[in-house]
Amino acid sequence: MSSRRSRASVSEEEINELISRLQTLLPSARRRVGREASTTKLLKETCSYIKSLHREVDNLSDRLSDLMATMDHNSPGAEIIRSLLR
Amino acid sequence: MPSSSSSSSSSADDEGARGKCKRGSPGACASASGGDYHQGPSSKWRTPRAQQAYSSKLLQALRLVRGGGGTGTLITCSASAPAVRDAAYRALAVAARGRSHWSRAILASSRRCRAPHCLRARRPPPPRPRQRQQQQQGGETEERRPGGLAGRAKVLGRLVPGCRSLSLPALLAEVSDYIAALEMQVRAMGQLTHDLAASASASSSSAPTAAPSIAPP
Repeated sequence: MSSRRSRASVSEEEINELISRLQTLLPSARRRVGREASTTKLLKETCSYIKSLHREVDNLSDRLSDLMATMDHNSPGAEIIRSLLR
Repeated sequence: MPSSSSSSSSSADDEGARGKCKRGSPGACASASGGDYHQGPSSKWRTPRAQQAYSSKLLQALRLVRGGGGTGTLITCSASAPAVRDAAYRALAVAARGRSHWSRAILASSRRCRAPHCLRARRPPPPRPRQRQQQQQGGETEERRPGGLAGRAKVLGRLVPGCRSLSLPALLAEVSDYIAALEMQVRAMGQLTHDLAASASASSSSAPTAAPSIAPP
């Protein structure tokens, strides 16, 4: 429509919106309300947050595999049904 | 919750983004459980239904990992942590229904090589000489220089699977979706771990001997 606005500015708005949306997902957004962080810091925080999430998934899969090893001797069918029903 | 203010208070809107639209587009946010793309793809990961769907997928995958149908057999070695992790990521990618780059990349890489260590999501790729030089020379500068946006974006693109060569807006969208999906994965796995531990302790208390003979509670 408005071709006067170059593509760069339209994508800039898009980028800003995406960045603000990303900012809401980060845990720091809940601590600092309405604080404007620079984009670089935001990206850095995003990187570290993703890494920490990966680590959590690793920990949880460790625990899950341990539990699954012990579950073989118990009644795994019951817990599956129970988990699906919750 | 202020529904008129569009995106000023972003943190408060986080929880209400499911029911209320940030952009204020009416009618698009009627269903909180549907794929409301207008609100942002990350909202679909926050619904309890999504988590339940993922949990059941994960359970199915874990049963396959365990050897399928081996309820009484002693197949314990296949339930290794990397296999569990791989299954979890694959289930997450399936739950994403292939709508995002990272989910397609995970599914493609798991199809290519079945080895559980082949999850390239967290490992940096074999360094090309250009990247290696950049890392050596610019490895510290990208931390010091505030204008290292491209460097940061590159690091981010390496963290998310399949997003190494995406443009910045696409990368940001992928990252938002990926983070929301990861959070849901952590929640679901934690819940599953809790359930398993609870049922394990419950069944062990009812059946004092940990014999293979199953005594259902």
